[in-house]
Amino acid sequence: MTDGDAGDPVETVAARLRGLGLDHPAIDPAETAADLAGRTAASASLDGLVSQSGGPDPTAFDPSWPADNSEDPRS
Amino acid sequence: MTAIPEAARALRSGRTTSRALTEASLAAAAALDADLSAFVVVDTDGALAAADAADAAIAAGRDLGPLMGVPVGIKDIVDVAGLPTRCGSPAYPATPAATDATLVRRLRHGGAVIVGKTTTHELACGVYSPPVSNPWDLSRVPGGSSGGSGAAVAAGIVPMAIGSDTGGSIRIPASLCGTVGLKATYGRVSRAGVAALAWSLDHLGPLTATVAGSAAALEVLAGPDPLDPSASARPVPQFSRSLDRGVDGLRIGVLSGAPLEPMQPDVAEAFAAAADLLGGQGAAMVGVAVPELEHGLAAEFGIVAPEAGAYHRELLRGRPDQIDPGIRALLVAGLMMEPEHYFKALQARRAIADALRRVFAHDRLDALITPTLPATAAPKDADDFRFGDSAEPVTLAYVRTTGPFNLSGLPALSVPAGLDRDGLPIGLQIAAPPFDEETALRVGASFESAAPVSQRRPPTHAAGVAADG
Repeated sequence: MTDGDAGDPVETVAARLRGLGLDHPAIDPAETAADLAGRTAASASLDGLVSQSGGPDPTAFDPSWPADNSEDPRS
Repeated sequence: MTAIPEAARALRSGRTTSRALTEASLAAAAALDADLSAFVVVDTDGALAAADAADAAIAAGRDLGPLMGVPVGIKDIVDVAGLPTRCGSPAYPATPAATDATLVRRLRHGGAVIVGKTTTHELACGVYSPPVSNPWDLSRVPGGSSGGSGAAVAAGIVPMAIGSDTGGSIRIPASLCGTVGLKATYGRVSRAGVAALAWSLDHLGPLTATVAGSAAALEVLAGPDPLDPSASARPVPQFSRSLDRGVDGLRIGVLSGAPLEPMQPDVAEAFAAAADLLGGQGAAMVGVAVPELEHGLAAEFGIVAPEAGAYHRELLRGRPDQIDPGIRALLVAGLMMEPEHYFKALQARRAIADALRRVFAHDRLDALITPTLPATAAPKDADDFRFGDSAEPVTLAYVRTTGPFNLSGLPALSVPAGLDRDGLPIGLQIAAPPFDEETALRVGASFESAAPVSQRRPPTHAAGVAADG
């Protein structure tokens, strides 16, 4: 099995761990693969909430409410 | 320990001194912390020196603000010059921090007396905060990750302690320990000099014995900071000016549905009673639902994992065996997941924030209330809560009601709202529009003035130390 082999999900994760410098006995590829599967499923649960392409830029987080709705929606 | 407004009055009138308050705090820590483990270090010499300096300032007629001469605790992810920042982790060095975090500098300028550093859940990433015990029941968790701060305030060791809050880590221990906890608007309090968990979700704030204490603390803590690009330049109001205005004429949303269910029956009963109490005080109570909040946990952890993984990547590469396995899995996942998942979580955050904005606008709300948590303090060895026939991990149960206000950045206050059938505290969460902490505190103060548990103390409390001594 090589780093480029994607046939075995656990080996694929192991290869990625090596590539990230995370090949350490404390980090188990099989456990990591299972954990990632769970988190990917959680991410998929958001598909109904967010646009599947495009959508607003989410990276510039500002807690203020946008001016187009007035800063204070109660006013 | 005397609460902050009363302590400030007593200091200025000469009825007590900062040295007397500080010695009482140190004595309480010495007597109680073997049971509580609320502190990782107590700085006796530094505290007494700061107390003497505060007394000298008072004698000279100087007024440094509402925390002058008041003993406080600092969560051990915040740099305090001369003390190590260990973050609850064996991987962090015992080397003392060279400089103060911005919020610590503000506290010192305000004359506060730093008694010590409070215990945090490892890397501020968890709700158990071992080995801290809950003063209401030593076999129960105090919550986290600011568990030491919650236990120290609830036990009366200090009237205020600093916490951080990425998914609820101020409000969770406040609710479980029966204190007040304030997560102000994102950017209101500088994060400079504080170890991160997730940059875009991290907030700093106070845990206090009273709502007035939180208002006073925020007046000291808040403000712009060139060292933190996210720190807001908005003017800092006098948060305590509206505390006695009551809620007559306010419109308060009462959340139902997601993410509150399931919840323990005693929590549901206390929440209904809290809404009735505020309604009886003159507020217009408006039932609201925000279905988008069902997705809060997926968005929260979809952001925490990659941001925390990036922040701790060198620790993860060099000494992963020194990280708790559950936290390590989160960090590894954060580095392994595809960027698409992170950006989807960020977009979900925007959708959730927009949904909250819409409900505030549509129903012309001044505030929104929820139970702070759907359950009271879990036994230390519990992994799950049982809600009827279903089980839910303790961590997820605690974060699902608090996390939406990290995602949206809205200010959220937790105040004590009763005790369950086992005598464990229940919290009421009060959220408000961005940068309107004043309204959240106003509602909290009104509720506190009439809430039945405001005068109750836990079995493990400094008052017992004084009585015994």
